[in-house]
Amino acid sequence: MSSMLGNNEEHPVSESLLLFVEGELQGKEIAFVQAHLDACWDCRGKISKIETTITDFTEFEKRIWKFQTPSANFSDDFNSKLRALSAETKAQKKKEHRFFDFLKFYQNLSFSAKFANVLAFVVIVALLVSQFVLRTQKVSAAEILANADASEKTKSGEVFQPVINQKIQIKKKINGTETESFAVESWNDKLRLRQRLALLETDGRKLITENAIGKNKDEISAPLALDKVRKILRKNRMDAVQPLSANSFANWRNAANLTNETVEKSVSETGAEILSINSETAATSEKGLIVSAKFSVRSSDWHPVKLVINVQNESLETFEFSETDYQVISYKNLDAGILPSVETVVAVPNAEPLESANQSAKNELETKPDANSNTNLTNKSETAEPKILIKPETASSEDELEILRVLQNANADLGEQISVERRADGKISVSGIVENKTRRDELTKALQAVAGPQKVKINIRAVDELNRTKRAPNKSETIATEEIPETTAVPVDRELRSYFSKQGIGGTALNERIEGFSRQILGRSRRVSQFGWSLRKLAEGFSAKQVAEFTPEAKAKRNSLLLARVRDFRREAQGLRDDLQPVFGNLSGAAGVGKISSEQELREAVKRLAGVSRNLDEAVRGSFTLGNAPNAAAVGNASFAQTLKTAIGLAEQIENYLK
Amino acid sequence: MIFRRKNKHEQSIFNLGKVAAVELRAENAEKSQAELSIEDKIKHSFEQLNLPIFRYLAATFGDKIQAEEITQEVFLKLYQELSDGKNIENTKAWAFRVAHNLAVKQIKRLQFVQSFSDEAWTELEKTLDSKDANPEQNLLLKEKYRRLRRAVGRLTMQERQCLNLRTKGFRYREIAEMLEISSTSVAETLYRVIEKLADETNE
Repeated sequence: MSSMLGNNEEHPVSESLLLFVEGELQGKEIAFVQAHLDACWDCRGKISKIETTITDFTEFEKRIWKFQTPSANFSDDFNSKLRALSAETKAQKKKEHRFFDFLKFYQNLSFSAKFANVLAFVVIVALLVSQFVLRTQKVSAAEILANADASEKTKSGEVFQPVINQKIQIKKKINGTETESFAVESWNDKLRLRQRLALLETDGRKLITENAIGKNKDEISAPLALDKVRKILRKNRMDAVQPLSANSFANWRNAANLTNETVEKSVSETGAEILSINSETAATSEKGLIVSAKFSVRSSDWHPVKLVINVQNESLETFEFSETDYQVISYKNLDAGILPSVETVVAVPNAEPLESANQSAKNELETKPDANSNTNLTNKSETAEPKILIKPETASSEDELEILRVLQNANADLGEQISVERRADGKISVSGIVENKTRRDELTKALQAVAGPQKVKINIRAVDELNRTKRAPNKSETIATEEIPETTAVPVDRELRSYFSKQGIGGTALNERIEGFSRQILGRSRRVSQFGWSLRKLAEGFSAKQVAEFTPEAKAKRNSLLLARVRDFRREAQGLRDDLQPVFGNLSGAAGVGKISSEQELREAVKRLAGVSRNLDEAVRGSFTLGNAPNAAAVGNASFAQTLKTAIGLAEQIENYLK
Repeated sequence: MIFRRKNKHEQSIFNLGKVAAVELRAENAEKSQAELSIEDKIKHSFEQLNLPIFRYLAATFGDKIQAEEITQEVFLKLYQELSDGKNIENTKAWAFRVAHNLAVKQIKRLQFVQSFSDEAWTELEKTLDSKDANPEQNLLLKEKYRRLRRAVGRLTMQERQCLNLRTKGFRYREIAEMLEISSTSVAETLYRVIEKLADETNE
């Protein structure tokens, strides 16, 4: 390892500092490094960084390993396997004797008998191989559902504050004869976890009244037929508003006692290839339970197009849900009456103490006290404006910025779906979904430390709470997934292979290097995209007018938040460029972008940056993930290079403006 | 019933048979003793090494169930090797090497690897709550560990293996032998790992 040392005039190469710390150097080498360290602050700093990192990691590992132990029956399970193996080994040894006897017998056979045996063996092997090939070409039900779910998430991810808007034709059949047919439209707010349903009639759309959403004069109660369908869906753990989704079908499938399941291919009327999962459950006499279901997706984009369920009732009833329209729209573009903001809803279950106090005061003012005032509040809001006796304390812009700072420090503004909004009552609403309850609790605690309940309304939910009812996939599903043939190369595999081969990497190490490099690039690209969107949310969180009215302190605070994220963005984007440059070339430098000199220009630049970052991420994902065709490789072409340069140029200009 | 006294020749054959039977019984007893001792040896090795190997695999795979399965497979292979009469001098190094080879085979099927299980991470987070520290300090400490976890998750397979073998106490030369790379490569890889961890935590 002496080759790692530089000469006396130079710094030792960085690796030798690690070897020094690790005690892996020999006598003369130790003396050389020690002598250099005595004189060089820079290298002493590096040594300190190495030691600190080792200490941090060791401490972290020590702590986390306490909880990473094998399951309780691990040893017992092993001992039983060992016993079984021991018995099998003994039996095998006996068989070996028999096998040798057989070999002796085989050697004594005539040539024609031997030839017949070999031929039979070849035929059997060919049959097995053809069976295997046929099996691996099949797509499992679990894969269809996973892909359909991922497809919906991808579509939702492309829209800011996504709301899924779907139109479905529902048909009811009894013994094959159609008895009812109606169309519905649904809205599913993925961010706020709210849904709405409307009946589509010849004279237009009629919103169905929901308990949590105030009833307007244009709204109707759910008709009996729809109500019955929704009850059946709920009873079977399906989504009563958006039943035609992978998640809804998977909820039923996971809970149902399936006896048979097949996957079939077909072609739709429009010529699209359709993949359908046919699931059957054990026979039941309980009314309202689904006994069989067929869930169909388009194989081109895994989009669910049809669901058919057979329900056990007085007779066997069939319900067909066929999609007629689907789009993902932004909450901001949604008609305000469909999913009104929470603050405009008067009848809120589990209202806060302050709201209750207001409500009590308001009730006292009513000339005719109503015993059912709580349930009738919705109607009252249409006729009389409630008088607010207690003015709620409003949160200032500084409070809002402080909340944003806490979220940024915890990186909760990146991958997690946390939204910060100003409510009509002046409070700040922080809502969204995080990965688990612990994360939810820590964020809630940190937010409460900077702004009390008078100013901030926190509604953060954990994914594990939402998924509590989901069942883990069973073993057969796992096996089915493993049977899917591996896609062996990413679209840029040729370029990567060529580049790393020139560095002398080959064999298994080459595959590992390509895999590691792809993961590194995907990580960077994802962070670039996250920082871009976080920056946009921050910049657009306050209107230009609000920013103009900011105190100097608030303005400085906002700028520092923006600055932190734009620096993150630039660092990752430059990292992406530096990583890709040696392989693809032609990426160095930044594109010339106009200087930013006003708030308006800043907003436009940030908006452009967010769009550019998304395009970059899409290009990178298309090039570095399996399953894409070789021609999907966008990274490396001139357009990608220009986009990346523009991103870095924009980030530099935004940073200059904010400094 | 007529009893006939054995003649001299018959008697000697009878005695030989008795000797052979006694010898056969002794041989069988010896064999079963050898089988028993292999099982005992495996059980002993399993008790000594199952946890470090499981943790090495868990850190490599990030999947507790797979780590458990491979750990068991390692010791079942050890049983087979010993049963076949092979001599293994350094059981620890052999077991880690087999674990490594099995891991490499398994990992080819996976695209993304998480280092530490979500359950372990959740439990760790619970312990990080200190009554003395304020919520923001807690958050920063958790954020530091979260970054470390994320950084480990982004390491390449070779980086992850070098790091995890080093933390199990193997020297650079031993790691190099196990991974079939040079000691210089181990040093370069580990330095790269340190840089990545440091970059992530100092961001």
